[in-house]
Amino acid sequence: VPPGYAELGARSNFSLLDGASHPAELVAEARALGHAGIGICDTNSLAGVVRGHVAARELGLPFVVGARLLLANGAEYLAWPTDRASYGRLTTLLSRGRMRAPKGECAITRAELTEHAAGWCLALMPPLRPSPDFAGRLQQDAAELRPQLALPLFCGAWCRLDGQDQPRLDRLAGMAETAGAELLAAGDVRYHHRDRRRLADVLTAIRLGRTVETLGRAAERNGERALRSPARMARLFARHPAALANTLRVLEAGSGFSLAELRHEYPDEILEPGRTPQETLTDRVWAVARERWPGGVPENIQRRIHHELGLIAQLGYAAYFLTVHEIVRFARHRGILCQGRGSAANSTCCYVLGITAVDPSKHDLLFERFVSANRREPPDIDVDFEHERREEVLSALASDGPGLARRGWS
Amino acid sequence: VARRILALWLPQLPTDRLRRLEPALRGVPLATWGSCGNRRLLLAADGPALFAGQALADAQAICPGLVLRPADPQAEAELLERLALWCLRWTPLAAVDGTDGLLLEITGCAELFGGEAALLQQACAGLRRAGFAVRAALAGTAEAAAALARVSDGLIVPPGEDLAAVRPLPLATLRLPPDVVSGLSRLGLQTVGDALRQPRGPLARRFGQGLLNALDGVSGMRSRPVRPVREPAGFLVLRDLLEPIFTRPAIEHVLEHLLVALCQQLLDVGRGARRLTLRAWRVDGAVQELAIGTGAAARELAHLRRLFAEPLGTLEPDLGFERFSLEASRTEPLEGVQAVIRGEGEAGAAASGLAALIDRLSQRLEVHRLQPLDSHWPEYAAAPVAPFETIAVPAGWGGEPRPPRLLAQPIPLAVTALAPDGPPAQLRYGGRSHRVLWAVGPERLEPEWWGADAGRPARDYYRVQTAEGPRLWICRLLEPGMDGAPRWFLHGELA
Repeated sequence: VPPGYAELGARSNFSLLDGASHPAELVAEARALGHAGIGICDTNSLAGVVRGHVAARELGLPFVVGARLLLANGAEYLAWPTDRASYGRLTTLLSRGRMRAPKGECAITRAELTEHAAGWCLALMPPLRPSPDFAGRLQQDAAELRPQLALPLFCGAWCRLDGQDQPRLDRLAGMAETAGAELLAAGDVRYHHRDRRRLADVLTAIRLGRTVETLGRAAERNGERALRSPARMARLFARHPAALANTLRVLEAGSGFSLAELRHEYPDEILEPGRTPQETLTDRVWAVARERWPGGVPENIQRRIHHELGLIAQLGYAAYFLTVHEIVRFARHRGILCQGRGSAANSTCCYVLGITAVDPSKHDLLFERFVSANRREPPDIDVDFEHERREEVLSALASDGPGLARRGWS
Repeated sequence: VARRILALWLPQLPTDRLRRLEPALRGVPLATWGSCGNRRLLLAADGPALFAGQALADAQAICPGLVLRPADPQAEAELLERLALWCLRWTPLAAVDGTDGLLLEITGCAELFGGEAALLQQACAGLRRAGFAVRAALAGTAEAAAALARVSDGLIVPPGEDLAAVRPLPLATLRLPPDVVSGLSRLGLQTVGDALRQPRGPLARRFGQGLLNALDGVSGMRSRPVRPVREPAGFLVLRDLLEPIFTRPAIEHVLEHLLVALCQQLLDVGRGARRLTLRAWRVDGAVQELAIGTGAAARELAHLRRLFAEPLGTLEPDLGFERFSLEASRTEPLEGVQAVIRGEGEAGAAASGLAALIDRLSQRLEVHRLQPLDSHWPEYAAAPVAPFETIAVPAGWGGEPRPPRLLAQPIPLAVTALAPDGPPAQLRYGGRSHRVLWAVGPERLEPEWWGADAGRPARDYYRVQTAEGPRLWICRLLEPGMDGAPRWFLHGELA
């Protein structure tokens, strides 16, 4: 029986000029090799995990979300959130680091890492030659971060077949034991299959601004930074079987969070205090409808509104409608021309709220073409803004968020 | 006597040079290009609708059959210099003019070749035969002749009429910077005559001294000296003998004389010999040749004499030699070094002593030093270079444990190891069985995929300590042999 192993820290091509395989290729190869699961950790980025998640869902392979955190002091960590809240902390940390640094870079300090690490699984990755500095950092991190982490701190370990693997593993195992950390096997993966070594070398050449012939020892010495079979990993880590078993622990803990849990989260400001979005929307639609038809809302319109509000309530899209309505109200208030178009014109609610201008009762359009219980995502409401002033709307959204009503104009 | 200068203009020098090198390029449109900032421009072109300074992409669009070659300004300059040397047949004073012209000072020489017109014809015909487009003009000053050659061909200005001849020339023929020419043009000054009529002060203030110098030159107000080319000095000494000699002491005696004379020649010009050739003419007309090389430029008598000691034995005097010549066919600058009285000069003396030793050894065996190279592949990690090359070590080179010497021919081994990729446990080497005490590895090396041996199998290297003593660097090929068994090789012994 091959021992269980999951590659948890594979780089995808979203680690720019480093990873040489698509996330889906990594997932498919891991599945073919018999990995227990797969995790994608791109450098200071979560860009690759979405495609990895989709591919893994299709193949039925457990998938963990993670990121490779490269700190300003040169330390390298792999971090896997274990629930929605710790995922939020990871994205917050990355966003802050990215916004502070020039485009394409990321500046994260160790203090910030400590601040956000609650609920993560964390592994400190070793340098090519583990130094006393590294041992000191491992010891310090293990002691300081233990109370927050979901599992004890791991000391990452990989085999590159550079002739130093076994001495390095033994050394790391010793350092980990002293520090109270545990060894975690990894593949240091840059590509899913060894054939991609050529592409990886080309990427290296582009990154360094040199030709491939002049790469010298900056090129890969072999094709070993590909995914390996669990049996092969077991042979390489024969003297440290716990390192393999730990990958399954992280896989299980990391499965506590899935990208499928993510939902659109609408701002609270659009709500009227103490009421649900659905109540707010219902009230608002009827209020406007009564204004529009002072002599009484026509019967067919009433029927349509009831039907639409029912479907919106069933699918939980009220907050979405309110958000769009908020933006349109803001634009109208500023005198910026705007007009909804496309399938949203099928909706009487949109018409009543003034988002679209086509009276659906006159055209007898089908609301289900716009919102349908069979589609699992919110409908598109396309709104065009006057092109010269579109920037105004965008910057107001960016600075105030959609709570425009409260702050901007009412 | 009025000076007479013949200017030759070679407008197509870069492309003519390429056509001489590659006869297949005759008859096709050809251009050379270079980079100017991040733009690629034609530098020289011959073909319809092509001109220097044109963008490369435009030229290719206009002329799809255009053959492009990168410009090689150094080779072009060298060629021009060789052509100037060739022109020394007509005058002792021939000079290179800019990047595409030659100037021949032929004052007093023309009569030897049948007059000025005949000389001009000969020079042009010779260059055209060699495949160069050429235009010529003869005038009293270098600048005037050069400017006239750019607008007409074969013009000979009689003495004293230079000024009249250059007045109608466009200012562009003076090879001024383009912004100066366009600035003058904006002022309505189109010809040399226009500019000469202007007051000098304002012209100098506005366009700089360069314009005045050019105007003075072309109008003959101030003559610029021509800097003639010199033939490279040849280091050759000859000795004719009254009686043929055939004994070794006699030959050594003659060689000594030749060496003394040659070393003096080298000393006079501050050069040292890298290659010396001794030629001996036998009575029956046969010529024998001996050559020696030195690692560093040398002109020390005792040292050179010693280098000849061995090869002199290969001369076959037979009936005797009647003539010897000694030539330094390759020389390099060698400055004299102030000798110190005692003590501190040791280091310099040691370096030249080493050079002398290596020269002597090189007469008998191959001497080289190793240049570290940036590569994972063991065979490419170093390459032999000449003993006195400067060595640059790539950053981080030598970090991996490697044997001090790789075997030129790896030795196949019989190795017992755990399948499929376990470390070696026992091996047979040198007719004996060795037990492996420990093995560190594997270090997997795969060939450089962009190189010549991309198709070779990857190797897993192990450092092995045998119970019997030797520490070995052995590898397993990742491609099994015919019988399916893994193939193992010894590639070197570790220190």
